[in-house]
Amino acid sequence: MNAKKVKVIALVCERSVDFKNRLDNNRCLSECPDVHVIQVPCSGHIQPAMIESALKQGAEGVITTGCRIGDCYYREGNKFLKARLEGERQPKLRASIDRKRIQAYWLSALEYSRFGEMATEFVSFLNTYDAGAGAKS
Amino acid sequence: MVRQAISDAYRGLISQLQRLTLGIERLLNVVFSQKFNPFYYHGALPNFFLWVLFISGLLLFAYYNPTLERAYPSILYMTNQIPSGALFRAMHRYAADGMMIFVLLHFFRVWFTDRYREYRILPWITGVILFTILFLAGLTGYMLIWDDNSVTLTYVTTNFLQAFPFGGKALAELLIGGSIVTDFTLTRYLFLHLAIPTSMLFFLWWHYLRITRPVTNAPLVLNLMMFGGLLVACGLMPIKVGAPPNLTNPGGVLEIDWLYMLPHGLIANGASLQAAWAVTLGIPVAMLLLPYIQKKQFQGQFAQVVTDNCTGCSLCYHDCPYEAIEMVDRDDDSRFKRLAVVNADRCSNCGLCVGACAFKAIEIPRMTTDVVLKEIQVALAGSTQS
Amino acid sequence: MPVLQVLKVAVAVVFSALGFVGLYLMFNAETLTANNPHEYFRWALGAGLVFVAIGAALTALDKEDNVVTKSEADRS
Repeated sequence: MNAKKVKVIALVCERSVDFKNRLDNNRCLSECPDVHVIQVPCSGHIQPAMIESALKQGAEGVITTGCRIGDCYYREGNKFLKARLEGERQPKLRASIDRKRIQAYWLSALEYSRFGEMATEFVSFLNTYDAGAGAKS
Repeated sequence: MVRQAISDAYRGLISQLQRLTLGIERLLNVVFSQKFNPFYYHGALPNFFLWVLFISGLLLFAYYNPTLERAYPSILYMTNQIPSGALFRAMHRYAADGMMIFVLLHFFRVWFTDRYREYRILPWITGVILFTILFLAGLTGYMLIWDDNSVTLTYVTTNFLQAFPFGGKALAELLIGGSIVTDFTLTRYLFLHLAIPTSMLFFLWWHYLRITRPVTNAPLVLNLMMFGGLLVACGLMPIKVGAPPNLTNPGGVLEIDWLYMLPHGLIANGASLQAAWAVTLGIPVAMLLLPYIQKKQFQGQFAQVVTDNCTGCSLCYHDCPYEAIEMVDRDDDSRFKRLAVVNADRCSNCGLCVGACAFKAIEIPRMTTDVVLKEIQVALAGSTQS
Repeated sequence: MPVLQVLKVAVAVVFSALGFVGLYLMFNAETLTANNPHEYFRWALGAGLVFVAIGAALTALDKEDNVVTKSEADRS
């Protein structure tokens, strides 16, 4: 079987969406293999540079996921990432980055299904979206 | 081995309780929306009630007369004669309940979501102290009313205090200001009811000491709803004044308010004085021991500053949620003037400082920037090869 | 999301109605006063309902999508 190209890198807080039994051997979502999941200690751990790096290396989109805003285990991580993505906190996401290729979800450990739905929707959006430099196919 | 087994079993229990909490929050997110979910402001809502208690308490204080003869009439006067006096009494009474309820919510949520140990030990210990203070403040509040129920409460409490094996008699005398109830008793009650809650301010400062940007206020919408709920409670359950105090024959049955009369409730239900003491002291002691059941998550790990990369920009210093990072003057021959230094005991290994750093100058050992970047690279490269 | 929006507006309407009940209690004498020598409790109940209603309506009308943070272009 031909391995399909990974389209989306998902940087996910290990305390938010629970991926137990949801990932295949390549750490891609079993219901949507275009999404590769990387779990980080907290969504606040995600540097904008990581997102930029993923897009530069050919990812068509990046998903970041933290716990519900208001419920960060480390108090403020998800708020900070949200502010960085919105360009309101240093270090900011570079302005030249195509924002349509980045989505951030705020979900608790019980809300996997919501994540799956939104990620699948995002992938199908990316399939029809080909503006900007980040798209290579 | 046994230590490990206990730690694992406890951890399993807590993670189940955490799922329960998250389930409740998911429901509340539907009702309140994430922005105004009261479970996300469990620490701030008691502060709202504290403000209500302070303001309504000041108004009651102005009319209270702490003597044996005048205390009960002054309560009657403020209830029946002063415009909205009864309302302010009711607000003071139910705001205390509200505060206790949200403090309990705060306690259980912080416990169930595993946010109470290691680097959070200071807020936990001061939290137990604050909880005790609130309990005593409520108890002394019931004594001040000085109706029949307050007299019974005084008798039960002094009996309870006297049963304490070490200096119990002295404790009882400290409470009522002598060996029998006199005018000084009421003065003492008033003093205790003012001094105990005031000490709360000091412990609140301590409670917040290691927390950067503590959330001390809930959003206006939530506060409005809390105030509304409080007024509705005042309207539906009008405040009462009991029968006049009868010091010679106090044998009435004590009305138990379990939020502030735990030992009294136990005694009323047939527990011995010693058993009531054991439970009353056992609860805070157990609370203080809870953080030590589970093993530390990241033994000996803490964020590492890469000295050569640090520009002294202090972004990590501002973002650290536990005040674990300090900016110091550099003494090496770097062209930068400041350097971030991590305080190991305060570090939670959360990595917020990593996200705040644009120069790869601070890393947490359990997941460095390079590991994340490598994973991204492998994920994307692996897919294009085939 | 139109269903959710309709639902939210419905909730807001219900709570506004509750607010009007509160206002009625506040400004009408005979209700609920039988056992109270004073009218403050009725007033408190009414005012409380008004506050709760305002809070609940504001909550229900909170339109921001709290779960997804999308691009700036999408938000504008």
